[in-house]
Amino acid sequence: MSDEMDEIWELYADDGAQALDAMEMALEALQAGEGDQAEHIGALFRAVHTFKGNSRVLGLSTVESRAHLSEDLIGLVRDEGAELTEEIIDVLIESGDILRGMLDETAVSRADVAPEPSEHLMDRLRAVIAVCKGEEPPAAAASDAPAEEKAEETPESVAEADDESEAEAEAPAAAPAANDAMFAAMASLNDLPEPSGDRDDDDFFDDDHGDRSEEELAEPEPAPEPEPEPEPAPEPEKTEAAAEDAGGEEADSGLTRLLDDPVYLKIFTDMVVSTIDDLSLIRDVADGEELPEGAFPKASSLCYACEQLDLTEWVETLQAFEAKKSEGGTLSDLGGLIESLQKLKAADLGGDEPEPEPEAEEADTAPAGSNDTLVSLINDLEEVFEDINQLTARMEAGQAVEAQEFNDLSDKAVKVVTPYEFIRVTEAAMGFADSHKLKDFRSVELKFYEELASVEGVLNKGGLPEDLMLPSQRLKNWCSEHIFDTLRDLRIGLDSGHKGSGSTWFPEFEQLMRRAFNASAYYEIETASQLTMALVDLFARTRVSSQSPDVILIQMARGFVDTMELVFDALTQGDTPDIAKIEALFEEAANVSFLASGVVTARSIEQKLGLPKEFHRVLSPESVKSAQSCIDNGLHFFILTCDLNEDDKLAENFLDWISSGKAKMITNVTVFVDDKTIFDFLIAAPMTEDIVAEAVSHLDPSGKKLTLKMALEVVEEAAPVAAAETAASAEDAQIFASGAMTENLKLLEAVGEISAAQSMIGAMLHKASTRDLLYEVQTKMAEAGLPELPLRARGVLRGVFEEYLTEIQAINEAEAQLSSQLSQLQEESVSMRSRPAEVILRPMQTFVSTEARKLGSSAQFSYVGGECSLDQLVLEEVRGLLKLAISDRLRAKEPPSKFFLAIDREEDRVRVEITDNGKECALSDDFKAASHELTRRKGVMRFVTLPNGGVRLMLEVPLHTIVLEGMVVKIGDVRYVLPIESIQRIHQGSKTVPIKAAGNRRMLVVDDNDYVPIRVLSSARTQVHSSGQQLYVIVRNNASRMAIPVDELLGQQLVLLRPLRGVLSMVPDVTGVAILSGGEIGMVVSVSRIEAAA
Amino acid sequence: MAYKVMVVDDAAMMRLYISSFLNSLPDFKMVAQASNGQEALDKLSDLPDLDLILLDIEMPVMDGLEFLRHAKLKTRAKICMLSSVTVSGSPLAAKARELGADGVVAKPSGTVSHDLEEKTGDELRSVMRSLVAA
Repeated sequence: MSDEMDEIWELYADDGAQALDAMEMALEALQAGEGDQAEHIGALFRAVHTFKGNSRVLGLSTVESRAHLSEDLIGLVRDEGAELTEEIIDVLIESGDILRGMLDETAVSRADVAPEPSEHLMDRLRAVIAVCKGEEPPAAAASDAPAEEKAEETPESVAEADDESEAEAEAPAAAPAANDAMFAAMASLNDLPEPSGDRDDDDFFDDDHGDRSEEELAEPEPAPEPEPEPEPAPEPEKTEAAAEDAGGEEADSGLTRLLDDPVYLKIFTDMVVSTIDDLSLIRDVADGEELPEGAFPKASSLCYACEQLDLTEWVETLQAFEAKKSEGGTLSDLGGLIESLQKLKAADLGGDEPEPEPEAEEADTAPAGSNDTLVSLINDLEEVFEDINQLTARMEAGQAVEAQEFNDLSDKAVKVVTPYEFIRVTEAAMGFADSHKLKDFRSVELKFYEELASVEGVLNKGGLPEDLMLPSQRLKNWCSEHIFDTLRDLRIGLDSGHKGSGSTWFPEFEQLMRRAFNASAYYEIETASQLTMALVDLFARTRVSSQSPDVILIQMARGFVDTMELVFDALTQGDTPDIAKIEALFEEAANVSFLASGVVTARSIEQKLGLPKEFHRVLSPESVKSAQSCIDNGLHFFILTCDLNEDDKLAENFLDWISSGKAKMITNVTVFVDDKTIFDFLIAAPMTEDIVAEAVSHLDPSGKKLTLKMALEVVEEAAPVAAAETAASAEDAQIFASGAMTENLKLLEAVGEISAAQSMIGAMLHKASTRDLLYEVQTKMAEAGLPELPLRARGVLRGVFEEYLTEIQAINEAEAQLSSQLSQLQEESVSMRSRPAEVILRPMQTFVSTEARKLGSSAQFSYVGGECSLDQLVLEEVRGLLKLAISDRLRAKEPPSKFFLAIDREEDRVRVEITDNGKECALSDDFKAASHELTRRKGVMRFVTLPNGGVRLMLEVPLHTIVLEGMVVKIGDVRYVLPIESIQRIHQGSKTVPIKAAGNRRMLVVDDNDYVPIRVLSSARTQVHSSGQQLYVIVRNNASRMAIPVDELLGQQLVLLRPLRGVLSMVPDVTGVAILSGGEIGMVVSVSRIEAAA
Repeated sequence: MAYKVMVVDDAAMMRLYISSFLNSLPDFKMVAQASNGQEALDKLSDLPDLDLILLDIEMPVMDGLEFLRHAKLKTRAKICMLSSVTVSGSPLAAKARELGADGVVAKPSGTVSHDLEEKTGDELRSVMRSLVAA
């Protein structure tokens, strides 16, 4: 309906502007005395008349009354021989100016203007008209006189005033119903000729009540514009004038041309659909066989429109039904009418139903009299609303509320709503009895409003009293006022990770999201509303599957909270919010199920197959996966249209066929033909088009119920689409591309794993390439008591071994090259995960100002170091800690008004300092907990009071992320991680001794009588130096100790341990790989394995 | 005592598949079916003890979303959307949540999903049970 009204108001604005332009031109010509004066006066009359008519049908009674009086004045000149004086031209110029101002205002506000500012124009027009008529000018105050008194002054005006009143009674108010929209649309072409010669232009819109029901005619009249208006002058040229206005010859073609215009065709079609729906609902809710009265006005309104369109068959059908009113019609009559209208609709308006859209629920299917029910319900609840407000206020003030008072409120609410039989409203009302805490009470209150809003959504037909506070409005008002609290609570919930069963966290999550939804609705941010519910849907599905939401969902929801905070912040400050990120998130939400299933998005498949757009909405991850598999297997794709509902046998055979393996169904979509459902099936098959066509005709020899609609061609090159899908805007990718972040982490780990394996292979190759094989052969032969090899044999063997070692060397060099390339890949993957700190610091400015404002103060935030590049996980952590610390500071008794942040990255940590000008404050429990956790991980988080005033937060976050605390050492080119808990000490020395009892293994002499066996890591490319200072890490496993020679100590880190898999798990001494700060890979040493190997 | 279910879907084959699926669940019983929202609305008054409605969206005469709006005023039965257009996070799934759908499940292979039980059976079963238990 809103689309139609948009069109109508646009028509009104365009036509009105043209009419006033014509009025202005005519007046200029008259003023200049140029050309044919009569022609100018005629044009002037038509222009004002058109403007008046358009204003009337849109219910702009004030505008219309000003135009009407101007028209009357021109009529006196045109038809009564009144002299066109300068005063008349002058007052009409003023009238034109005022009407143009009114047009501008009403086109925007879509409501009538206030009458007061233009009262002087009315007085002036009346005075001039009186002079023209030779009467005494009326007193200026006359406009304030009651209508009855005015009617006495000019009896003729009574009739017109009645006409006007009726017109206003019929004209739409703020939100015209479908029929009104139709009338208004037709009226906007008020230049059309009348179907009957004795009607004037006004009659076209508001007369012919013979077709209207008595109920409508009996409706109380709204107070007419309280001015006595002179009797309109006869308009002998009216038909001709109207024809001219209609565009000359075109107008002669008759009213039925209206339906040639697609806009009017759609309006009329919608009106018919709406009427049929209304009548159906009236039939469905009726008790007994008696026909409800409400059906007749509906039929009458449609009949009226049909008459205007010369739709004789429609008129006869509807009039026949109206005739039943006096005869006492039955529900069967109504059923017959509905059926007839559906047939006429199919025959005259085409059968295609509009594609169902999300806004389909906006269709006007409210029961007759529903507005009255709604108004009655809301009015009945007035006292309940008052009680709710009072109880809330008392609880907010910390006052005690007795349990009985909650019971009383619940009883009262239930008593009011029960007669209306809206089950869920009644149940919501019962909830008041059990909600004794403010938070619970508030939840029940909002639930109550939500249920009432659902009722309102069904019953509200528009045009309700303006002072009626609707439940939806209560809901939106409250939610918009508390949106920042809502977002804060959402963030707290998300930070807790929503662990465990969904039944524990989902209800609160949903409730908060619904509040965000209503706040978005308050500001009419449609995309935000949709995104909110899309997230509810995504989280609800994880709840049902008893899973915790994954990191992608949590990150998406965090992105939502952050973005909404900025959006609402802008809105509350009167700025225009940037909703591009909301739109991006909404798209991400729609695609998340595809990402989670590891398949390309629906769009990619649509592009590859060139699918008709109706398939877009039914492509699920499963069907996309299936389609992709069929593409990979080189199958052909076809769309078959099938009427499954009408022929069970065909349906069975067809479904057997597509399940048999001969063809594979990818998906199918509903296609409506009238009220009949048929289906388009997307199938894949190895057969060519002609074979499929043959199979189809075999299944349905009639060729009527199953047809091959089209063969699709697979376009393999969909790279641009894929690129477009992955190339989210840089800023979006920075914070919100959580999926990409997870993928990058996996990629990095995979690279690291390969890198570690490659290092081990390198070490083994190096070891192999440095062996003296000839020496080893000779030694083994000597040990076995074999004779020494002859010189020539040694020469031959040496040659073979050298060739072999040359090959090994070549492999070693290739490995070195591979190592270099892997290092580069590793750097690139690290780089992919990094973002400038700017991405968290810029939004922090808004966070600070918003948070301060919520707490009743104001604060600014500035920073340096935004270019500092950090891993996304670190950025996430820093952001959370900063928000926590700043929130604490802003809650100080004397909070800061300025924050200055400096951020810098060091080798193993990111260092942040925030200096502010506030006073010292107590630390919150959250801050203490975060500080404790950070300290445990060798980080820092503490406040320092500055000697010259102000406070500084010292924050140091380790650059590495997770689990294992280890000592990173370097042996040769490879980094190793030794678990810190197994390190006994570091020792540098040269004193070692061989122990014969241990196979001449060397022992490190640590102290005079302390010997520790030396263990060289089997994959390490190092040798224990026989002389000189050597660095050892002495590790302990249970009672055993070992001294591991290393080249360099790189320091302690917390590292993410990744176990080695497959053949790599056989690598001795090593338990896994770890990503180190800076992205390098370290091999994690297993002390127990070393000991076991020993 | 099995939970009473009404199936609303304009595809006769789909109603058959859903019926077969429900027959495999001892705790659910299909007591009514309808081929569009209007027909379902007409039947609601005769089913005061209905526990669950499995509801398609794209239907002639009255679609599922419109039915949802009206039905929520009339019945205590939980309403679970079961439609090809309610893929997770999609605009229509969001719309259904907005209008108060108690559960939302997507058909796996379009309007007529012959593989409903195979591909979505576990999810649908789980949703249905969680709704009636709530």
